Amino acid sequence: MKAWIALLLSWLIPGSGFMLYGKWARGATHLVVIGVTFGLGLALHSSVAWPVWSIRSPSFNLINNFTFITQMGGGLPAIASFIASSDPGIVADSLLGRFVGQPSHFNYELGSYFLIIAGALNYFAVGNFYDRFIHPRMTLPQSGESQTAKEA
Amino acid sequence: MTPQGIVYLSSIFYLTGVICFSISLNENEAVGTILRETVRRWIKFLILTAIIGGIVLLASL
Repeated sequence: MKAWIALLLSWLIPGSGFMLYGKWARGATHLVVIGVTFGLGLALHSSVAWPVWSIRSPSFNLINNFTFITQMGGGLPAIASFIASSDPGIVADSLLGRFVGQPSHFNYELGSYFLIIAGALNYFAVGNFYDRFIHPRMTLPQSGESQTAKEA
Repeated sequence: MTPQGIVYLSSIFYLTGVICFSISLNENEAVGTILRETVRRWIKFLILTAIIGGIVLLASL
């Protein structure tokens, strides 16, 4: 499989890259950890929302732009949440309706942190997958090695 | 403590834990090492969070 397809899959479905290379336990762990965190964010009535990108707009807020970019790291669930929150009326009766957030809800901001963390963790996981299987330029230090090196 | 306070406090424990676990998972191979590194990082993270929380509390008095 081509590297960019594996990386794309790894982003869309957290942990899938590791599973493709036979690391089932590691991939499944990433999937569960990121999936549960994203799910908790949705349960707190949050969603991935499209920010204002024009710097001239009065409602422009750079934090919202970074939040969006990080939340989109969640892959397919993030895309689903983004589509659902773009037009909640259309998706209300479908499966996507479960991904619609309620910006007026008191837990919306807290849930947003869960989505940010889920997205960031998937970016880390994709980066780790790249380092281990696509372009392994260096070996990862094992626990205690750096301490041993300092002592030596 | 109010139910909302419990939700926020639980979130701190969960989110810091999940970050520490994920970093340890990326850096290590053995299950035991991953868990040990997670706990080590988690304790440090929670102490740092408590210090920041204390500073914010003092600043808001």
